Amino acid sequence: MNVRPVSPRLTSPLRVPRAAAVGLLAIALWLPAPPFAAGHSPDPAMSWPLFAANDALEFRWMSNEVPPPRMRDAVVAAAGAATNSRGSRAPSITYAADGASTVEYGANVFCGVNGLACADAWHAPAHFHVAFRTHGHQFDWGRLQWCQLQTTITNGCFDIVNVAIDEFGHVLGLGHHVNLADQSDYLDAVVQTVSRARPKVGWDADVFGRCDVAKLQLRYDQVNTARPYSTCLDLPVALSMTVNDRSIRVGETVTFTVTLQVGTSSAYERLSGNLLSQRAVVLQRRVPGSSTWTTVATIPAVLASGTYQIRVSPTATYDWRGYFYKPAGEGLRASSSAPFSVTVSGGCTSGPCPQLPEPIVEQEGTR
Amino acid sequence: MMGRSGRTGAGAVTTAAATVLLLVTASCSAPAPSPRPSAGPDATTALGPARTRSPTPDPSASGPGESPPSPVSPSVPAISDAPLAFLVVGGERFPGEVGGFTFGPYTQSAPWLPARALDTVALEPGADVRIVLDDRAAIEAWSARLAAADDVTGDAVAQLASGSGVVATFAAPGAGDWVLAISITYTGGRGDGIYFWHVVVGR
Repeated sequence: MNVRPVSPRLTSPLRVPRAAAVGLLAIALWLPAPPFAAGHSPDPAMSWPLFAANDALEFRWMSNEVPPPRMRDAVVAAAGAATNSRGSRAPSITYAADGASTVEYGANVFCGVNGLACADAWHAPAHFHVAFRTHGHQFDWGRLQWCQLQTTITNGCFDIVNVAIDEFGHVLGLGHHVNLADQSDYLDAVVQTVSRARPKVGWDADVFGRCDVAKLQLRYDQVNTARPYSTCLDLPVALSMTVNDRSIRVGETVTFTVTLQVGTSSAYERLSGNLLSQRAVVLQRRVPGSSTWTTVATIPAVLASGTYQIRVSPTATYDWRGYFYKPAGEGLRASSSAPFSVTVSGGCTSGPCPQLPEPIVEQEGTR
Repeated sequence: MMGRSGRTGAGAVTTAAATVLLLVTASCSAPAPSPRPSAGPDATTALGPARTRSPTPDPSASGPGESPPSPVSPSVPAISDAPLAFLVVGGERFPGEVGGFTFGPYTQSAPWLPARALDTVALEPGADVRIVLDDRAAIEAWSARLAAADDVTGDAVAQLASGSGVVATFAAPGAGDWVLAISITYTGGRGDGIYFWHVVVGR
């Protein structure tokens, strides 16, 4: 996740009083491991209705509750950042003077007693409300300071952009991310239960985190078949491969056709069964009876979404399969097609087979 | 077994709170809570007025329910509201302070709540502690975490316990002055909330 420096950071180490540290250590040693640890999962869903995919949501400033200029600038920037980092068909969010939704700023907004900001999209897809508490508002927990409204930025202030993206994430249907027990995955999401003030890690994260994007992809769908899936996802992949002829004579050519798509399950919401284009799919073979697969070539993508094709002139009988390695940069699992044999007659007649030459590979299409 | 003090923000404690403090601490065996932590490094922070919420008997007969949140006007949102959470110990219930939450039509962002913003509950080490919600929601999963009371932003938080079920139950931590935070996922996909108590555990 990118973080946007608002000011020079103070990177002091964690302040843990010695007595407290000893106490926490004692607790850590004494307590059993938790029975579950939900983390590195997509954000949960809000219970309110969804806006339509690819909708263009517009907000205006609520009359008599208009934020000061620097907050308006920050909120508009946050809307742009949320839109640009949503990685899905989630609605875009922009300011418009006649927008159906509202953003307000004041002491008596609809937030609860400890809320520095809040959101309400119960009436989606019609409109949403977002509210920010007044700079300087006195809470029981302290006096609210918005970093962008300070003359000199101080520790303890809250980044308007970060908090606004959190609220816009809620508007789009994201619940609070469930962090690991040690909070080490806090940066996986902007939509968090506990907002962090400067200079704690994540205080100024200014784009959706990967687990925010993952849920947006699940709820609204991926932008197109070629765009990467969030690494917060762990989607199974279905790879099927066919060949136009399973019995040929040596010198003839066969065409292998692969279809690659996300596995099918209601658990994958809008992503279920999505075709996967522009991925690296390889063709593998093995001598019948062997357990060792050899990669023959990368199978090029063709124009049809999620389809890959290659022509090969085998010199001997082999088992064939298509294989998709788990990519490092997206949340897809490895997958393999069911193997099948292509029998070649008139070729290798005395062992060990195969004999040279290697299969002739003709690649078509573009990747 | 336990004692309780109201918040001592700005050094002011109402007469009612002082009375509760005296009565409760006089009738229980736990030591008096340690002094409240200092305001910490945030010089811009000021303390709020003291509150005097009193513990209430635990009406264990009234379990959590699933009644829906109140409907709201589309144009004028009502005030955000989350279910109340209570720390129950020794037959008394102490309401927690909700920070960030999502529930029904609302969500709000809030920071880690420091001890100065919380009511104080005095406990004995290892005491059986239960957390329950009011009748607007039920617990699906929960996680209890702990930070030193003078850690005003929750920089060093330790996992205390976690589980699932309608009632969260765990043993009070060891002696110390703590902020106890319980993250609760409400049943039925209705959201989540984090609740805080200032817990003073005697030796």
